[in-house]
Amino acid sequence: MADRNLVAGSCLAVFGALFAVGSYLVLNNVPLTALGMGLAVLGVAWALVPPNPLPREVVANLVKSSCDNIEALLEALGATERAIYLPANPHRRVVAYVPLKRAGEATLSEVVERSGRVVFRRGGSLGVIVAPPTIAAFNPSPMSERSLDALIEQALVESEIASSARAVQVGDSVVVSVRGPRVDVDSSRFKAVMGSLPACMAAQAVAWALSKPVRVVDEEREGDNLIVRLRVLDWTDKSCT
Amino acid sequence: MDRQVLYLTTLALLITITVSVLSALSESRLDVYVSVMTLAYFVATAIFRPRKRTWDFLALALLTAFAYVVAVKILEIIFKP
Repeated sequence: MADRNLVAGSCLAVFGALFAVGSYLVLNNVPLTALGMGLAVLGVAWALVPPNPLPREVVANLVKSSCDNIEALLEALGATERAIYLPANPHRRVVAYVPLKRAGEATLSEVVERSGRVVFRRGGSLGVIVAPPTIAAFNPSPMSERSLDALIEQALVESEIASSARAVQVGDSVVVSVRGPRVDVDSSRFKAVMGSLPACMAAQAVAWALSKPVRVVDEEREGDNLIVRLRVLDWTDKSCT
Repeated sequence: MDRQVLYLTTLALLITITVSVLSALSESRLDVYVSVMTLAYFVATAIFRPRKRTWDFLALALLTAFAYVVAVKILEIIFKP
């Protein structure tokens, strides 16, 4: 199916440009020339805006069903520990490591090396690696090397999870202020382990931006705002495994 | 309303108002129209921050046009006899 925005925007831009040229050369009329230029600008702006591939409700339902699957897995495994979000560069995605038994016998870098597997075991350390609802699902462009704010923006605002979001980094802590979260899940186990959906998204964005493991420390609701506190971990950290 | 729709509607409104008001004031300099439309575009883009399918070459084009207009004006002032 042809892209409606691209076709309509291009038509308007071409019409505006021809109108502007005609008005300037033939009529020598500046306001009509400006009108043509305005139409051309509007047309190009329209063509640059991508169409929404799926309605917001459908996206929300897809995310929720994905969270339900993770919830079922966590429930079956009896997971209670907070997940650690690990940027897995070879796969250009962020995975979540959920510790089931902690023995401190593996570093987080060893965990991420096995991010293609579901179960991670090293000595007494046992955990599962799950794929959290990812940012790339909401945006056609893959996550690239971008700033923390840009990734937080893409993860939460452009994906319509929240109306705005800001991140402040102080040492090994990152505080993300999410205003007007629109989509969340009710699954209690998912929330206890992975964090709420906005926190999960924010943790992925921060992990990707800093290329370091990240854990959701706590979340606090203040009216329409959600304050998410994240802790940035070292790759050599063994206390979480 | 969808943010993208709101952005396009606002931009259309701003451009219409720009052209209407300036032509009502009998403005005959095209660079004034271009400058105000550039401003309108950047204001609408900054407020709504719409998703773009590619890099914003329209912003670059408008900024270049605006810079050219400003440069010409500055040169006019400097080299005014």
